[in-house]
Amino acid sequence: MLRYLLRRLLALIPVLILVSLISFTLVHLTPGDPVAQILGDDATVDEIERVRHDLGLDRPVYEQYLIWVGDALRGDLGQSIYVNQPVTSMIIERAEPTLMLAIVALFFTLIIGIPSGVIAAIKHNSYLDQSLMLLALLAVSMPNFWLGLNLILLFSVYIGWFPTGGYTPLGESVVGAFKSVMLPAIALGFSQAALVARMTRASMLDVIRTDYVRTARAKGLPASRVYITHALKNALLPTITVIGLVLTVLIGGTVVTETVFTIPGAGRLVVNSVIRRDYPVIQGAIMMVATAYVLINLVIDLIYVYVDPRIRLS
Amino acid sequence: MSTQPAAASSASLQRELGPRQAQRTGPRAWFRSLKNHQFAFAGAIALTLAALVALAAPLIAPHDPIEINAVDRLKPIGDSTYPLGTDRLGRDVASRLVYGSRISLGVGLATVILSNLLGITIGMLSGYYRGLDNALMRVMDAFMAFPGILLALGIMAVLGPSIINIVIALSIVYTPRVARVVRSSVLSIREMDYVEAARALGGGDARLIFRHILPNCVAPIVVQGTFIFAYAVISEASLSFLGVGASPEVPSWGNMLSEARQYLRSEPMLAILPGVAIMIVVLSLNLLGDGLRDILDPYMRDARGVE
Repeated sequence: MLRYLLRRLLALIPVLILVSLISFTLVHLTPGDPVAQILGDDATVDEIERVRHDLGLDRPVYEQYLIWVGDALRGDLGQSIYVNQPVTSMIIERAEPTLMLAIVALFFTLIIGIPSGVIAAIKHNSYLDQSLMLLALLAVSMPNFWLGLNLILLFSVYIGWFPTGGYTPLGESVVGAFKSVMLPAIALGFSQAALVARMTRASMLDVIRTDYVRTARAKGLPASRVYITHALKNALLPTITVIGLVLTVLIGGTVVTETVFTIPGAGRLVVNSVIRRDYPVIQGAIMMVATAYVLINLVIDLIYVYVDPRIRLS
Repeated sequence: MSTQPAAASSASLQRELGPRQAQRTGPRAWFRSLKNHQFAFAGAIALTLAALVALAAPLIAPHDPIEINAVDRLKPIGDSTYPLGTDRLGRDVASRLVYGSRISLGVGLATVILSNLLGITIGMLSGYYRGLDNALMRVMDAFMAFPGILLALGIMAVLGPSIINIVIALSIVYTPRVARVVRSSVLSIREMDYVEAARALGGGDARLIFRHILPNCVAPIVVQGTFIFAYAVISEASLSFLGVGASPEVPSWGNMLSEARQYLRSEPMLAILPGVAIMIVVLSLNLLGDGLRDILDPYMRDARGVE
């Protein structure tokens, strides 16, 4: 297990280097001089030169990259061009609503997706199965921001159960915080729940057809017991592997959802930075999310190996 | 006498494989199996209609989609001159929806073409020339570590808002997904006996790739392409909704939703209609994709390649 862990950690290095290269290059391909943009039209040549030097933009590109990566490793992602604040603290300040949103959305994804998939598989080809799968198909066919707009319309404007937007910090009110991310989390998690349901259904159908499940049924065990304790355990294995993917889609999706529900989170920060062309923030945020994705997937893989010892042997 | 066993085995083979058309390959056979698959066929028809609307937009649209009529602002649905009403600036909603299909379908199609050109090339190189495999696939993995919409946003920040830039950004996002699918097909096909035979007969790399390997990768590429199309339509709408996609005066469904958000309370229909349009297009693409996968690639059922 330790050797496996070491090997996986070593394999992370090239991926992370590439991830940082992509984040870095992305911004350095930008046409135009960012310094001229910061200083505006009436800046003198001397001023531009001085700021270029302060920002290190007069050095060779590879040096700039190494400095950026070196700083990033120490937790310094540079300075925002638009607001005079370090990128790292800007992101950390806005991390709470985004993490709350992503985690609650993941919760909804699993709590809706897994049971629907299991029920659809057990009632294979019934009306229930078909309507659940049709619903899943509808769910992946609508943009999550549009679902969000409809939820606001229904639950906030007409019924008035939830706020139309904004975020209440956990420190202020725990109930308020959950209430404020409820609709956004449903909007965000719905299409992912559909994907999880489809996957769970497919793997459950495979498992139900195996010999050991038939044996368990033949022994006279009640169906519910066989499905829940025997079949589900194995059927959930592929679902575990997609959790990492689902979580990244959810984190990426917060960008749109936070805009719909005017939540002041990291996703909203990215959108605003794109509109303001605040490159260090975009670069830092993208790099952070990709790194998180790589690490989350490592953890998921380790869980997978722990749950399914067959992987370790191969 | 000697033909008897062969005929019998072919008959049993036919029984196993089901109707005769399932054995044939090629577009005509695909079309026939598509017709037997209700949902997929419905998707194909809806999509054809949407494409016709997009092509014939100037003939169908009752008004100019960007013409501002200050007098006729916020007309309700069912108005005698504006069948689906008008928006905040007095522009005809029906015409904007009709023209919006051009943006959505155009961006979707262009993204599928561009990401497939890049992805097939990379996947082929990676699967066929094993020396390149590791390097190319690590780069693809790195690209896939970024959530699609976030990477697209970053690229849009660099390129600036325009429809062509959306296509470029989304193609960069989806290329690694195509490359992966192509690579894994190539890996299994290149080991097959018939490829070996073609090589033994003196077929060069180019001939093997284009005549023998690529044609057998078409099924997974088509299935994947349908889903990429669907995701590209949603992503274009999302980018435009965020204000970094098509420039604001373009009548795209995402832009319409972005404007409608501000008047959600008073004018809910302005937010509902473009969403329904997106859903119809994406749903038909998903129906078609699911159906094609069932028809072309029975082993892939219920597994999805794109996020």
